[in-house]
Amino acid sequence: MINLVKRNLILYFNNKANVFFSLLASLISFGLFILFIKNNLQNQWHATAIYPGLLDNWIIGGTLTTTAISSALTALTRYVIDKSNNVIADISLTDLSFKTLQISYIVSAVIVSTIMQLFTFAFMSTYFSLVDKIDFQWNVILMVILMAILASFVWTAFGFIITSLINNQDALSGCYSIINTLAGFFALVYFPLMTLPKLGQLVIKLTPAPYMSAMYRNILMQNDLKNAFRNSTAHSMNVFKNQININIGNVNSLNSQILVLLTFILIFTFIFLIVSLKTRKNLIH
Amino acid sequence: MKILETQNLTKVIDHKKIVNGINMQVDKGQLVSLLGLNGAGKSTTLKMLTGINYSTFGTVKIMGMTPKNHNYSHQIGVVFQNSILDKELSVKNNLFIRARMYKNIDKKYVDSLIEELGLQSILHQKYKNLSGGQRRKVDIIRALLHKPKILFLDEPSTGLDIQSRNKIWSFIKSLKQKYNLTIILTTHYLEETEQSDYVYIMDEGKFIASDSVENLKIKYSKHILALTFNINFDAKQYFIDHDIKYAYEHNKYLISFNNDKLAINFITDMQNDIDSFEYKHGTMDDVFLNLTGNKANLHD
Repeated sequence: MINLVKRNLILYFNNKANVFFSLLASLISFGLFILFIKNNLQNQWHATAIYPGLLDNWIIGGTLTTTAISSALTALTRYVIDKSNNVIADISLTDLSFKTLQISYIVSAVIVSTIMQLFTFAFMSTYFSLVDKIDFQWNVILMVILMAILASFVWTAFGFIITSLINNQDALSGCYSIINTLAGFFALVYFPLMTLPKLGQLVIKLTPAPYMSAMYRNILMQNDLKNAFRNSTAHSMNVFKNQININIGNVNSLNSQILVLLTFILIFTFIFLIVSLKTRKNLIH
Repeated sequence: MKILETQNLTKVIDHKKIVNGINMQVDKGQLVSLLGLNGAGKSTTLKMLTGINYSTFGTVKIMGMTPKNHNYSHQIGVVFQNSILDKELSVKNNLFIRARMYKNIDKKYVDSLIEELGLQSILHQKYKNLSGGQRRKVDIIRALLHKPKILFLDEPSTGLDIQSRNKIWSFIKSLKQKYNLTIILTTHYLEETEQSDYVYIMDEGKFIASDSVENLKIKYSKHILALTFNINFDAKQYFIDHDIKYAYEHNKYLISFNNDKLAINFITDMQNDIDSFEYKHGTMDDVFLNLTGNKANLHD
C-alpha cells in the first residue's frame, strides 16, 4: 500500500498543473476577496473594520474549505486515469487486494488535500500578517492540522463516489469544473448564508461545505472574537456569529460541526460502498 | 505438457457475443499467436485468459487453476497494448514500485532480469524519454518480475517502426529460450505469426482455423509458379490440352502447386520451353485471405 501511495504522491506533486488546479478555487476566492469583497463586508460588519483579523481569518476559513474540495478531487483524478489506462487492471494482477488498492488512492488524496490546505493556510496567514499586521496564529496550528485531515477525509469520501462512477477523464474534468465553481458559494466565501433565499440556504446546508467553513472559522476567529466582544454580551456575540456563519443554524459549536462532518463521512462512505458493489464488476475492463 | 486450456470460452457484452465458444490448448514452452483483424475479439480473449475479465460462459484453466484461484495471477505476466507504466517515473522506480506489490518478490531475480535483458543503461531514465522499442522492453520486463510461467502480450509490436519490431521479436524469442516461457500473443501483423509454434486465426469472435504455420499454409495457401515461355511455344494451348488451370498476369503465366516437388517436376518437364520462372511459397497472407475473404486490410 505504501508503495502505491508513494507513487501517487510523486505523480501528483511532479505535475505542476495538478498542483495549480488544486489551488485554483482557493486562488479565485482569495483574489475576489481582496479585490471586491473585503470592503463590502467591512461596511456590512463594523466589528471587522476595527479588528481586521476577524475578516482575514473569516476568508481563510472559507478558502481552506474550497482548497480541501478542489485538492481532494484533483488528487483522485489519478484513480480515473489509472482506470482508463489499464493500470488498475495491471495492479489487480499483483498481490495487492482491490480493497488495499482503493484505500491507497484514498490515503493519497487525504495526504494531498491536507498538505494543500496547510500550504494555503500558511500562505494566506503570512499574507495577512504582512498586509494587515495580524498575528500569525501559531497556537491554533495543531487544531488546523487536525481539521485539515478531517476536511480531507470528507471530500475524499465524496470524491471517491464520483471517481468510482466515472471512467473517463473528460467526463471527470467537466464534473470537477462544476464542483469547483460551486465550491466558493457552498463554502460561504462570497456572501453570508442569510442573504440567500430559503431554498438556497437549504441546498447549501445539505452539503458539508458550510459546516467545514464554520469549523475553521470557529478555530481561527476565536481570539479576535474574544477581543472584539469582550465588553459585549454573549447574546450579541452569538448574533454576530450567526451573521458571519460561524454558526450554521443550530449547528453552533465546534463539536457539533465536527460531528456533522463525521456524519457526512459516514454517509459518503455508505454511498460509496453501494456504488462500489455495483461498479466492481466493470471496473477492470 | 498442457499449460493452458479453454473450453467453450464465451464473452457476451450488451447481448452480443464478442467471443464465441473458443477452445484452446497450449503446451508448455510454445509461442502461440492469436491472429485476427481489429475487432475480431483477440483482446477480449486475452483478457479472459489472463483473468482480467471473467468469461460469460466456458472455462479457462492454467495448470488446472481457474482465474478465481489466487495463484492464477502468479502464473501469468501481461503486457498490455498501451503501456501501463508511469511516464514521469524512471524505469527503475516503475519496476520497483510494481515489484513491491508482490509479496514474495525475489529481488535478486529482478536485478538479474534487469542486467541480463540489458536495461541497465536506461534504468535511471524517465520512461517518457525512452524510444518505443525500449518502452516495450521495459513493459515486458515489468510483466516478468514475479517469474510467471506464461507471458501474454497484446499486440506487442503495434505502433513500432519496422526496426523496433524486429528487435522486440528477437527479444521475445530470446526470452522464450532463456526462461522457458510459454508465450501467447495477439497480433494483426501476418508476417509475425510465421515465428509462432501455433496460430489461432480469429474472425468475428470465433476461431476459424488453428494449426502450426506450416500446416496452415499447406491447408489454406498454394505455392505459385510464375512463368514466361519461349516465343515459339503456345503455352495457352498446352495448358488447355493438359487441363492445367492457370492465370495470366503482367505477361506471366501463374500456376499453383500444392507442394514443391510437383513444381520441380513441372519445371523439369518443360525446361526446353520455359524462358524464365519465379517460384513463391504460400504465405500467412494467403492463408488469412483465403480464410477471411476480402475483409482484411492487412497492413494497416
